[in-house]
Amino acid sequence: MSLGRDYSGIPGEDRIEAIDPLAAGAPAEPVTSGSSIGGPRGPEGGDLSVAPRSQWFLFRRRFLRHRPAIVAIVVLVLLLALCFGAGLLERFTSLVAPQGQQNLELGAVGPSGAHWFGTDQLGRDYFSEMLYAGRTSLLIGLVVALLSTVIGTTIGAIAGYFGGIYDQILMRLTDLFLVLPSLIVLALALRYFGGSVVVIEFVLAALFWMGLARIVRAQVRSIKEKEFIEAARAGGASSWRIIGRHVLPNCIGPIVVAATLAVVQAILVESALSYLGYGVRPPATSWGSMLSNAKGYFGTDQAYLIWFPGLAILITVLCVNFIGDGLRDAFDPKSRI
Amino acid sequence: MTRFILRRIAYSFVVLLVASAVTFIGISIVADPTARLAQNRDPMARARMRQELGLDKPVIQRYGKWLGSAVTGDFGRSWQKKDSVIGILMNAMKYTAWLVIPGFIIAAVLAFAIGTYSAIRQYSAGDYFFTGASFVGISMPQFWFALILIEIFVFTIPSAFGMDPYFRFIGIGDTLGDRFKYLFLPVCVLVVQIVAEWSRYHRASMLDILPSDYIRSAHARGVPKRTVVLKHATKNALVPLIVIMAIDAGLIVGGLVVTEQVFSIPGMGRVFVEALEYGDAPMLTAWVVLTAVAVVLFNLLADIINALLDPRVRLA
Repeated sequence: MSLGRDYSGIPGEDRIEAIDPLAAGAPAEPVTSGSSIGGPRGPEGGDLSVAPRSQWFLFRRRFLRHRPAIVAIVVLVLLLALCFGAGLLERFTSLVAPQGQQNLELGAVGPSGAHWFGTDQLGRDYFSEMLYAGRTSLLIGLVVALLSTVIGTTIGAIAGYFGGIYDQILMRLTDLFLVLPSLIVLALALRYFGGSVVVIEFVLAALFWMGLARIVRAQVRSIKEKEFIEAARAGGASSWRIIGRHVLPNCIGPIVVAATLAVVQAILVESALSYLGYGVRPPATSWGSMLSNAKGYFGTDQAYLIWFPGLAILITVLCVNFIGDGLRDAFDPKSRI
Repeated sequence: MTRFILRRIAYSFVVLLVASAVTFIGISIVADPTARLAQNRDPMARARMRQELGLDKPVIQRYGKWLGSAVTGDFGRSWQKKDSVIGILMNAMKYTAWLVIPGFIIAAVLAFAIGTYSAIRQYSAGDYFFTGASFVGISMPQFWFALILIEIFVFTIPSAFGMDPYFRFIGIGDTLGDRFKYLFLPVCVLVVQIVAEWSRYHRASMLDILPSDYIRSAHARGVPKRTVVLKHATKNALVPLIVIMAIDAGLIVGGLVVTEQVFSIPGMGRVFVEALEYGDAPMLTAWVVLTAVAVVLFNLLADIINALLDPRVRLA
């Protein structure tokens, strides 16, 4: 959000905000004392001039040192580009076949130069089908993360900032969602509304926001007592402006980490739902539904039909988990990595 | 403490009420077990069945009736299987227990060992290995992992564990040797997934404890390193692990829906899937009540354990 912004040109109250550590609750560390934050292993060496370091700078440096997270970002970007660029690849190269193009005479043959991941029972190129299905899986992950983060942050921020009756109502609502057995709700909702991708996205988002709402509420409650909020209020800022510009940017750490967790959960739960028969319906496909279609093939020559979609899910989820881990470390002012 | 427990129990009744109402009304809206009789030659067949199951009355009234007998301990009969739902659930619990209890014990031991090792050898090759492995463990779709284990152990190296390619997973076998054959892979699936989580947890809490002053002074007094780690540090570091184990134990009473499905184990997870498919409202609602009770009880247990083991924690 406002992390990348250069605070130097913004009037006083914002500069105060920039000094407040990102993850509230952690001991405050003055931003300008570069040596204590950089640690003895810092690259600054003999440079004695003390340049002020923004939170964004520190965050970036800590994140860039988390090698698994960097590798994960590269892999994930490649994966996203491949899946969402599948249409272009199909039109301009011969690497990718049109979606659903069958070759019944060919049938299921193992991986080869012509078909990298082999073909399925209907002779469809499995590599191409995986790319098309990946669009659904990745989209579900991203949309669910976005929706649940927006819901959770909004509810948590309102409950935490305004308190009182708003807090009571919203937190009881959160409790209610927490006690509902999510599997039941998922299965019932998907049976009722049908397993279209949009429905799955909304239902999953409706079930994943509660943890974040509680975290944000706790953070907001502690941040709103800080002096820089008082300063903003004295300066005449409205409640919504204070929440949006001063409170939430200081909760960005937990919010982003929770978002990565939501991506992971959404992709894994969607695949499990597909296995149980409640996932996306044809003609839409996802890695989970491909896996579910292939589940009878273990122990046969077509076992590769199980391996590939599962590996795709594993790699994607692994990447997001590593990024989440890197973000958690980078947002933690105590971490020296 | 007593007040805390009483309040939590009172609160749990609200939870049960909400969960049972949502389930009962939800399943009644979504699935109609008499729908398959719509094409029956006898046009009265469906109407008769509806009346038999009480479906001719409005859903709120049906739920009220269900609630009325549920509070007296009568959860009715399954529409699909005609047996008492309590009996079905008890039977299913037996199968789930065979899967879950060995899994939990093995996972607890492994998580403790791996977590302790990774903490005292932080950033060693072994620590990185276990970190990587646990990331893979939490990143796998559960049923895919189960299918891959079958693929490897049953078909690729079939001689191991007495499984031949004609081996079919169904039930959990009768003799103890059979049990091992049927349960080895499902337990593996369970163990890998929970060890991945618990070992990270235990590693983190050990890393929290090891730099503390009392550990340093124990070292300084010349207490052997082994004793310091396994006694002084472990005593405190185990608290979070035990707490999360109690919470997970509550969650797992619902069975492992996906794993039981893959290995055809007629446990709690299977009961859930079948009741949902059929639209078996009494069965599904009883299932939800039982699992919700388990979640609430084990959460309470976790809080109490936490308070007993950690004197800094006050229950309020």
